[in-house]
Amino acid sequence: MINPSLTVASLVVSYSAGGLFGALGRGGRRVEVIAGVDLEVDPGETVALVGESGCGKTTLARAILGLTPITSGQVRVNGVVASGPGDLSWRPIRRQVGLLFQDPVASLNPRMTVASLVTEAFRIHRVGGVDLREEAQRLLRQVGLPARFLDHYPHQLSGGQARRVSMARAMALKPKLVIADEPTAGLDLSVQGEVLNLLVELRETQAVSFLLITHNLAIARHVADRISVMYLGRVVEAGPTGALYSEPAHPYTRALMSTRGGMETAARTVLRGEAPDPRKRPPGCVFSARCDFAQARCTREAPAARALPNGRTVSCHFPLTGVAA
Amino acid sequence: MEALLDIAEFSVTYPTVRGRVTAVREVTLQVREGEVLGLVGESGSGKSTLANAIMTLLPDSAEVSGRMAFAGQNLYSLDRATRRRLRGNGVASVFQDPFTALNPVVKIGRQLIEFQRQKAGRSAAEAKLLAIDMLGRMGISNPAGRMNQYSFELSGGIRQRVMIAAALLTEPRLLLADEPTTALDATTELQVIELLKSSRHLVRGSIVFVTHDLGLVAELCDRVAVMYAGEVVEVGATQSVIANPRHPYTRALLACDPRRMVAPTRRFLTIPGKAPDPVSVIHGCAFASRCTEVLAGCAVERPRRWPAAGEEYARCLRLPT
Repeated sequence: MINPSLTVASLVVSYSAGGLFGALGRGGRRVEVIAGVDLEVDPGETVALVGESGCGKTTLARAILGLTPITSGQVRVNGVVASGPGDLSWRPIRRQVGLLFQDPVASLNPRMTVASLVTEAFRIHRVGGVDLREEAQRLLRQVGLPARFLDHYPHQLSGGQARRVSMARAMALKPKLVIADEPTAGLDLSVQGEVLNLLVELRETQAVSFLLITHNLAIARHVADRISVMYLGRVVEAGPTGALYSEPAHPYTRALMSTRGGMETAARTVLRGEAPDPRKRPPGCVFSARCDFAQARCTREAPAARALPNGRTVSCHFPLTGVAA
Repeated sequence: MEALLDIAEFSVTYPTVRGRVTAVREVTLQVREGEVLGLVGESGSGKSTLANAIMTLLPDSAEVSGRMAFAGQNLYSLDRATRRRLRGNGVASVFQDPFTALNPVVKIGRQLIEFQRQKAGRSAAEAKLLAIDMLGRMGISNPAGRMNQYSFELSGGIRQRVMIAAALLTEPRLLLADEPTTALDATTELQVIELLKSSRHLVRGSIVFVTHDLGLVAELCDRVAVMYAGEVVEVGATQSVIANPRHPYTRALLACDPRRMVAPTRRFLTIPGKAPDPVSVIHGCAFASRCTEVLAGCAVERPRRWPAAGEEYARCLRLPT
C-alpha cells in the first residue's frame, strides 16, 4: 500500500486563555484554534486549504511541521509520525517536507547568497557527500533561474525571482510534500502566473505533492485537485475541486464560492456579520449564526463530518447538495 | 461639460541618487462630475503617485509639470495654504489599510465628529447625529455604541466601513479610494463592494478608485484609466475597455487574470519581461519591450493619443486598426 504524502487526523491545537493565571492554573480555559481537523494529501496531488483570515490555515501548516505544539491528534508525513514533542522528534518529518513561507523576501536571510540559501537544508540536516555548489546549480535550473544568480543576495532579486529561490530552497532535499503558504500573495497579476506555472511543473516533473494554503479561490480552482474549506478552526467541507465550485454542499462554501474569485455565476450570498471569536466558540455549528439555512438543531448540536458521493465530506446537518431528498 | 478634475500633460519627477525618476509621465485625464473612475495599474505604474498628486500630498522633493485643475483651479499654481484649504474642503480619501488611517487612542465617535466640524463646519451635536446615522447606513450594528469604541476593537471590515462613513460625512466633491478592499477577506470584500454600490447615491461628487484589480473596476466604475510605467495607456468606458481593449497592455493584463478563465487551466499566461527602469529615458512606447504586437517604430516613436480629440483614447502605434 502506498502511504499518503500527508495524513492529519483529529488534530487539535489550543492555547491557554485568561493570561498568566489561566496558564499556570490547572483546568484553565483553552482556546481551540484548530478544533479537530482531518486532512489527507495523496502522492502527486495538490490539495488547497482555503478559508479566511483567522480560520486557522497557517496554524495548521505550522502544526504539521511541529512548529506549533499539538494538543491532540496526529500528523503523519509519508508514513512517518513524530514520536513526541521537541525539535528532535520532528526532524524526520521536517526533512521530508518543503516549506514556502508567506513572505519570500523576509524569509531569505539578507546576508546569505542564493547559493548558500538554497543549500541550507543540506547543512541543517547534515546531508554529506554532495557538492553544494553543484546542488545549488541543479536547484536553480529546476526553478528556471540562470546560474549567475548563485552569488546574488536577496535584495538583488525581484519578487518573482525571490519566490523561485524560495521554491528551490523548499525542493532542496527532494521532499515528497511541499507546503506553500500563499505563494503568490503580493505579486502582480503579470508575475503571479510564472510562480503558478512553476508549481504545476514541479509537481509534474518531481513527483511532489502540494498543500496549497490560500484565500485566493481563483488560483485554487485552477491548481488544486481537491479543496478543503476551513472555518473557525474546522474543515467544514472537502472534496474534488470541480464539485465544490459548481455544487457547494456547505452554506459557508456556497457563500465563499459566490465571492469574486469563486464561480461568480450564481447569485451572490452576502454574509451577515463576521466570523465569531474563537474564544467564544458557539455551541452547535460554528457557522449557524450567519447561515441562511440554519434551523433549531444547528444551534444546539455540532454537525459531524459526513460522507457525500464522489469522495466529498461535509459538516452540516442540512447540506445543500449530495443527499437524497 | 466641465470636468471636475482636469489633468493635462501632467508629470511628476523625483531626483534620486541614481538619476531622475519619472513616476508620472504626461498624463492627460478628466474626471467628470458625478462619475466613478477606476485608475488601474500594477506596482510601479504610477497610480499611487498620481493619486497623491490629486490629493496634493506629494513630498517636497517632487517636481511637477503640466496641469492638474480641480474645479477649474490649477492646484499646482496655488500657494500652499490655499491648496491645503481646497484639499480639506473638496477631496476626501479612503485608504487600503483602515487601521493606520484612524487614530488608535481617540474614540471612533470623536474622530467622526471632528472630521465634520473641521471640514463641514457643523456643530458637535449635529455632527454626532449625522455620524450615528451614517454608521447605521454603512450596515454597522449598534451605531451609537460603536461611537465609544476605539479602532483596535473593530475588525478590518468594520474599520473600512467606518473610514467610508468618515469620508462620506464630509460630503466631498471628489472621493479618492485607494485599494479600499484589497486588505479584506473575500466575504468581507463582498460586503464592502455591495455597500459601496448601494451607497453611491450618498456621494454627490465624483469617485476615483485606485486599484490593481480590473475585476473590481468592472463592478464599480463607469470609466477606467489603465496606467503602465507612469503613463495612462488607455482610457475609456469600463465595459468597452474590458470587452474590447485597444492597448496591448490592457489585453495582456486581462489575459493574465485567472478569474477570467472559465475553464480550469494549469498554464497561466504572464507578461514576460519587466517594466522599464524608472530612471531610464523612454523614447518610444514604454511597453514596447514586453509587447507581443510590437512594430519596428515602437522603440523610437512615442505613440500619440488616438483618437487625438476627446477624453477617451489609447496610446499605441498600431491605432487606428
